[in-house]
Amino acid sequence: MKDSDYGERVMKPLGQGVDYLINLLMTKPTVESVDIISNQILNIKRKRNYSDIVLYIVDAYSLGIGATLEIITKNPSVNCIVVLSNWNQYTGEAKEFSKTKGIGLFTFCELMGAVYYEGKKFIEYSPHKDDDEKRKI
Amino acid sequence: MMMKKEKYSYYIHKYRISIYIFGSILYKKYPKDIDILMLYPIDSIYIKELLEFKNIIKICLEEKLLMDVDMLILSYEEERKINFIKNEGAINLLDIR
Repeated sequence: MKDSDYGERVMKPLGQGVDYLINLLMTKPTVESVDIISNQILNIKRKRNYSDIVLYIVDAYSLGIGATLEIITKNPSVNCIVVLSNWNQYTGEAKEFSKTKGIGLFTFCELMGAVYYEGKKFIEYSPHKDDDEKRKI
Repeated sequence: MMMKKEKYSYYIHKYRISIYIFGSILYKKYPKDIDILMLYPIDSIYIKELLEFKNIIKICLEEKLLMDVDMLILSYEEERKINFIKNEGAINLLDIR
């Protein structure tokens, strides 16, 4: 797949942060490999029955519904968005909108937990809720 | 790319947008970039147009100021919930004219 298939870039993230993200993803038992499509898009190939994640990386103070719409429209192949930096966040409206589009929207820490899940559980992954469920089992 | 002041004002009113500045430009003598917050009504029927307008503002400012401009776009409702203006000490551009 060519870079242009993923659409235009919206905001540029920090290169160092992307390297850190890739290295951490590679330590996850569900992740087989991470391909860099562009400096903002990664293809995360997962093992066994887990589907690939096409991840859009954003460095924004607060990702709102408008910017989320822009990313999804310009990058139709993306099925996951991460707000990269520790001080980044997203709004509740952006999260709900992403879910309706079948796209996972996560912070860095949330993504590290979400990669263990598939389908609806992946998109709706919430660390506290899902970790509590795990503890019950 | 240039935008006439009248045209800018026309779109600001048409899309019911507010523009704020925040970040290092408010407290650093030589900031490395400029952070701009654009607020719009969440029920706007002009969402695609105002996303384009945001990108035009970014290009115009970067050409004029020769600095990176980071545009943050939120609805008024989202801003109210996360209290972004207060937390970041953002200033409405109308207030510094």
